[in-house]
Amino acid sequence: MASVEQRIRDTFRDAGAAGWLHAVPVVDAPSREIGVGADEQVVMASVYKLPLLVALCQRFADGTIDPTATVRVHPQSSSPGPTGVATFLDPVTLSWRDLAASMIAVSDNAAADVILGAVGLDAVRDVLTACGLAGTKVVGGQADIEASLVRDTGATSAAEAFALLADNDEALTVSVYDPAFASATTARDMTRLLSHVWSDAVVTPEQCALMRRLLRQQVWPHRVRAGFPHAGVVVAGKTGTIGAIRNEVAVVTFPGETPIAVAVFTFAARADAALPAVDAAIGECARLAVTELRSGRW
Amino acid sequence: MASVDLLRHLRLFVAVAEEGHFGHAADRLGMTQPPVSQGIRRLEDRLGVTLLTRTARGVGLTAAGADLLPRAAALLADAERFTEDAQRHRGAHTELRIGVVPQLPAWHIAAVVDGVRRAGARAVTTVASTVELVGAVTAGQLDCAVVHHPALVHPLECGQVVKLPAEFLVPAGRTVQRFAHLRELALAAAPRSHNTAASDLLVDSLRAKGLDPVLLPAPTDRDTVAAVAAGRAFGLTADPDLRTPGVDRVALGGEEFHLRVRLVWRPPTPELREVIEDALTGDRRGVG
Repeated sequence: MASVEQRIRDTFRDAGAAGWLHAVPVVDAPSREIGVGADEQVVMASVYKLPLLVALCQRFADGTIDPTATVRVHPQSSSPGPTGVATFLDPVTLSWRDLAASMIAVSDNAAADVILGAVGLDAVRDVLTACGLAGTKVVGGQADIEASLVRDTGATSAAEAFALLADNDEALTVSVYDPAFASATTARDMTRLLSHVWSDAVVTPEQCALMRRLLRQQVWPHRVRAGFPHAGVVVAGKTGTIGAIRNEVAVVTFPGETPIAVAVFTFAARADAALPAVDAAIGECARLAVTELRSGRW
Repeated sequence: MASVDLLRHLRLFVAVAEEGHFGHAADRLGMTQPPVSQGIRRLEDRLGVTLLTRTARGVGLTAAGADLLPRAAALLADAERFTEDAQRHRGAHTELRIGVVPQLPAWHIAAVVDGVRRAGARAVTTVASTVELVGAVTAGQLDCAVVHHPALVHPLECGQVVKLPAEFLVPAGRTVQRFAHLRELALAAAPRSHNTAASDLLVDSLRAKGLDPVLLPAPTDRDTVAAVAAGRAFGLTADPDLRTPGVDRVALGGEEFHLRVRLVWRPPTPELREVIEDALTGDRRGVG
């Protein structure tokens, strides 16, 4: 049988997507890892909300932001988005930690931009430096992504820009697709960040527990989760999607086994807004990698 | 150790290190395991350094192996580039090697070759599937290629998407005014393995119209007309001159079903890129 790396490459290719993956058990000195382009820079899309969450939880830990303090969000003047507070018609008041929950559970763009405004880009960059994520950079939030997209496509609105991005006749080269300009990372950096969160290494244990709980609450079943439909398996993760880019970074825990961090990044050949075959390939590749690394197998 | 020998042995070392397994490395190299193991030992003996650790769980790198691996990979990549550059010198001024998909109409192939000739060069064409063409351009065996879009073209550079008007081919005498009239026919089209992205896009577009055809692999327009004339299938062609007994042409669905192609190349951009792209977008009615 072909190596697991080759099977992962074949799975991405069959789905019509370029793919990058890294998987590693969450232990002090992992003896084995799986990598396919694991050190190449890739576009994060909403995966940037993970280091943003870490930065927010550091504020919770050092007392500069009270997790139960309330914040008022005006959806009409916030970043648009398909989920969460971003879809609301009327202003809402909620706590910082519930705002964080909405940012992670449904990738709420309005919530993320409010949090980014409070925490600041520098705090996110400090997280990257502290965790040794040399291949990662965060250049802005959702509002910045949309401004760049509108600029590059010559569209008059974000909606029009996204429509152009989904057109198979265009094959646009936009800077939100380019790791040199967009917020970018490597698959290996993201499994390292997840490992820090899972080993209580990045903030206080209490805050790491909060992050793990929020990541477990993510609702999307179509990517990494689709690779692990088995009862009892816990998948905690964060997706990222923009145009042809579909990502998820997650920690997969089989009952009684060592958790395994897996990061999957893809770039589809087709521009279509919905490509279920690519979503499924993310789950399949995660399954191939995690199965190879499961402590229960030995 | 002679230098050619060194490169050959480094190739074994890099393969085993990357696969973490002698058997997998042998598979990748198209060899059996014993010569791979022997080659690694020979390399270690000649260098006087142990590169790999062998345990029941697999193969790992020693500290020396980890230090030397990136330089081994760099040497191999440089050797490959050296050979390719030498090849390019050999053919530089005389010919441009261009690949095209079989679905590109004869008119366009001729227009490309003619344009290249007028620009003072000579075109040598190869007809192959999108997957094969992308591989050949990536490997430096072709200078550029006209491939189906969408396709996985990484790490190549691409030109604009060109849409060539296409029409449906249906069994002669059959009334086809809507997609529903194609319902019980198979779809004769390029095999999915030739380019999964474009193949899946075509099937998805037909499903959106209410069809869910079985895919009948037809690598070229010839295979398509054979299946259509037999009354088994419908197909698509971008070749306006393709008119055969037993096959009727029908315009359905508009631009959505046009043939999308684009030029791909490995940097630097071929000098005659504009000549080729102009030929692809050329207005055939304006030519004698």
